[in-house]
Amino acid sequence: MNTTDLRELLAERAGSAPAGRPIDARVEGAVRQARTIRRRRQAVMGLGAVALVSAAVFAPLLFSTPDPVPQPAVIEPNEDGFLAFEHGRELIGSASIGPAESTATVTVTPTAFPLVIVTECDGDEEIGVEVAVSGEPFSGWRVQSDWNVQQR
Amino acid sequence: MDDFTAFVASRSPRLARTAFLLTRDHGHAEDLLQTALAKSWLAWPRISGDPERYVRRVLVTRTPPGGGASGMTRPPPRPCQRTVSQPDTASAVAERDLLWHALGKPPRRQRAVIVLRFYEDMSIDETAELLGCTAGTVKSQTSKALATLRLDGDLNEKTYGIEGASA
Repeated sequence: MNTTDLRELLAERAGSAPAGRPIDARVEGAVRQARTIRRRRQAVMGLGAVALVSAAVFAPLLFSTPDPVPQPAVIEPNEDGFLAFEHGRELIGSASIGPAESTATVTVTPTAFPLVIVTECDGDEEIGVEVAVSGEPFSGWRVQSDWNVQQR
Repeated sequence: MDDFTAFVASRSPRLARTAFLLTRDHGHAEDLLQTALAKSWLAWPRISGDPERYVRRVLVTRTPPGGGASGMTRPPPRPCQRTVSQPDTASAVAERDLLWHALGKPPRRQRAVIVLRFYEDMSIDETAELLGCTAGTVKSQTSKALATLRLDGDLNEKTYGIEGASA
């Protein structure tokens, strides 16, 4: 048998398939499933699982000899040649996600404190934040206002 | 969503056949198609160009690893050796059943390539674009899939020696 026979077999089997569901049922089923997917996404977002933000590599503070003289964070200038600032602070890391995604991870190596994690959402959804230091969950941060998280 | 309804009415029969070849089971094919249509319904305002390509892409990427019922079926009995030269319809049918069963053995990705290349009649470049891979990957996947069929122990090598990858 050659690939021509393979084509014939596939066409034969595809042609032997039954008519399947009526068109109306297919449309209705697809729309119902789509709405279920949408509700599930909204529920997940409502539970605060929209964003997972991880601040990592605090090793100098926790697991190794502390550096007595913190070095300033290395910040890349933006395209205009200025350091990136947002909410009055130097920006050392950021991530954004679309409505189809549920989590974003930001990994930074801060050498100056306080470290502020700012979360924003175009919609009314609540954003959950999880902080990890060197890969370990870290709970030593506090909420400063409705829209950001203050790290001591 | 009249456009969506019209799209389902005009394209879903063929898409259902593709889903059947990917899953090898009518029930799983309808489930897969419904999932693909649901995703396209959600993305409908954002889909640019032909939505059928979007749906077909979802079909090949959301196909279960085992297809449908392929992993649960036993191979059909091997056809008896022919002792006469004239065509033997029963034997031919049995041989096709063997090949159909063997087509369920390649991994999902290779099976998708087989369906797109040899049923949808897509070119290598079209297949690569749909699968989001390179043309070289499509060629190698095609060759591997055909090699899997060629080496399948259930197939009668005399009658099912797959000739060339025709990549």
